[in-house]
Amino acid sequence: MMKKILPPMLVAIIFAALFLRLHQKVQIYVEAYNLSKNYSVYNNLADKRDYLTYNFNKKVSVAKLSQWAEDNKFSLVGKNNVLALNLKKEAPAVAGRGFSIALSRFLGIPTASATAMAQEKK
Amino acid sequence: MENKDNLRINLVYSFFALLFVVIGIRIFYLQILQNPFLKNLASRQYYRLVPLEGRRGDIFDRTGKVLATGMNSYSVFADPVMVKDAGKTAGILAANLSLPAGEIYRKLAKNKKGRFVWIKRKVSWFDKERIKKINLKGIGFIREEKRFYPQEMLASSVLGIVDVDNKGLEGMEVFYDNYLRGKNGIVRVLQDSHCREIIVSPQVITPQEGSDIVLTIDAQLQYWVENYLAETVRKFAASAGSVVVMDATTGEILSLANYPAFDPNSIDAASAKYLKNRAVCDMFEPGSVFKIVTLIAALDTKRYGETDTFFCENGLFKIPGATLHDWKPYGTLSFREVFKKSSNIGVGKIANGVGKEFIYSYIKKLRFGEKTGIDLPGEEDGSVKPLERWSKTTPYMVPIGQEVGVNILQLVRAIAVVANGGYLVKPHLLKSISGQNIYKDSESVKEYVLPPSTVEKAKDILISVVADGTGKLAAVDGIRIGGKTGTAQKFDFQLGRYSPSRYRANFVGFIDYSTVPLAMGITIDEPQKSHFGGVVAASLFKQIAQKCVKYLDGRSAFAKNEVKKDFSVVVAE
Repeated sequence: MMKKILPPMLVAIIFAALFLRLHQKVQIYVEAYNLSKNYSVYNNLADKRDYLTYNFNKKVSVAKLSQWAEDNKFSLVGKNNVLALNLKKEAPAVAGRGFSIALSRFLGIPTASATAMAQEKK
Repeated sequence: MENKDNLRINLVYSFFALLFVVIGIRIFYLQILQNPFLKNLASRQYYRLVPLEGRRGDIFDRTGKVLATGMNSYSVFADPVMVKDAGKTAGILAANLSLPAGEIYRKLAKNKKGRFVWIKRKVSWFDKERIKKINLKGIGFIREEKRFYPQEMLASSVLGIVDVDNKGLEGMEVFYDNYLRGKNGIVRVLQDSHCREIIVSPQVITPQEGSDIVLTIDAQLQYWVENYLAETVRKFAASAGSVVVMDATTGEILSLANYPAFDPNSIDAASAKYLKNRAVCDMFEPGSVFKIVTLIAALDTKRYGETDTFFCENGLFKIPGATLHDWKPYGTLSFREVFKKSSNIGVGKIANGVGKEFIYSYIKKLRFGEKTGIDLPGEEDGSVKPLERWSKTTPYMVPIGQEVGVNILQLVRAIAVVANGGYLVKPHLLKSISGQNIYKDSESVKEYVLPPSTVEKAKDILISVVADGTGKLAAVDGIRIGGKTGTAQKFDFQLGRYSPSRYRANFVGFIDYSTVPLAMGITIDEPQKSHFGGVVAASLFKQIAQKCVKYLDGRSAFAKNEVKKDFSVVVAE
């Protein structure tokens, strides 16, 4: 009985082993292909990034930033200058201010004087 | 009968057996004996070695701003054999790449047997995507690195340019090309019958990135210097100008500007003539700025001092072979006044009193006639006549800055000796190099040439030149500035004499600044509206000096956390 089964079994085992080996090789190629595809995607994104960086840098060069600073009258930081940060808006402490603003708006009168006085006090 | 049948059968059998044996032998020959050769052949068709470009190093200014970097771009190529309709393809490519269609058509038609021809190198990602969408047969793209200068024209003459293969051609790009250039790697790719890459092998010879270099240049300062220089050149309708600002104690160059300049991102025939770095390559007669040599020689040899006076011949002095003129007639001037008022006659007399041998020795001590060794290509070494070739006129002409050739760097190096207490420094642009296998800081080279006593006296006199002498327009309130003006006539080779209408306006000076004593040199070529150094160059010096001090003050205060900060400033509504 064994003598009859052995040859086909042997063939089947060898076939299975070879098939597994082939499968393994194909898997490696598939993984390599996926890796290449990812490299391609990465390269494409890197190129896009470079192109956007190129456009961005053209807009924020030292020359453009300096010109903008000059146009907006920025001055250089120095020992004798105060560097103001976190500018906050606050209503000046003037009694009845809310009413006076509302009245001024109703009558069409500018409210500058009240706030200017408050600024002076500060 | 049976025998005849058997014979036929045997014949047919033998024929087929022989056929199969022949095929078997052929198979054996191809599969076994020729196996290595055929495998190799197949491999060469389907496997390709692709070079991986080693990234070129970046260039930064001293504060870390990027001045030159690489970005990925695509070069368009064609396989003329695969291109079906050359005319149509050429038309489409021409429209998308802004090239003449005829030129592209010629490339496709001429190279019909060839398999590769460049259409355009280094186009943008955007252009590549646009062409790729059209799906033209026989057109492909190769990814290459393109050199990009984000600050455009800023410091262009310092940075230089590269060629289409990213090889340095000018400026720092060529001087440090060996460090900046990367090394290419290789990767093996599997490609299909259309030469498209299917699989990239993970095993590569890794490309080596080039080293990054940091310059001594401050980009912000450079911007202001270039701006003011451009304004001055335009205001006085000059043909060109150069400015050098240097740290007098170390030789680090904070700014080196030339006008006109160019944009290294787009060099065309018009701007190619501005590639020359005038600050390094231009040799000129310095005029009165060269009087600092006589000043130093007279003080150091103790031949003359503050108590001496000189009769300046009322502006006209006959010397062997020529006549010396002053720009204004002077009578008797003190030693100090000779330099304050820049009297040619006074300086001529002082120089001859000191002696031509001493004058020559101090010229050589301050290294005129020798390259400064700056790390830029094409430096002119200037021209100083050997003593044995001095004529009878020369001892009067050289001290006033004629019959001698210098470049602006040499003048800045000389004035720095006065600013820093007596040391000759080497002007340089490199601060550091850093790469995969290298880190190097630049070294300051200092050579002691003058004693502090001489230098202090010279400094004091040069400060008075600016305080109430010819350099008044360079004075800045609250800052000690010293220097020397110069208005040099240019020699006209057609006329065979000095031109009455072509001048160079020069000013070299120092800012006696506690944080960083600065030396600065300005030269404006052929100003038209005024040609005086004290007008053209000195006023530019003042603008730059004011900005420099304010900027460096602010940076230093910020770094030391001395800037007053207020987090609670409110703005009323």
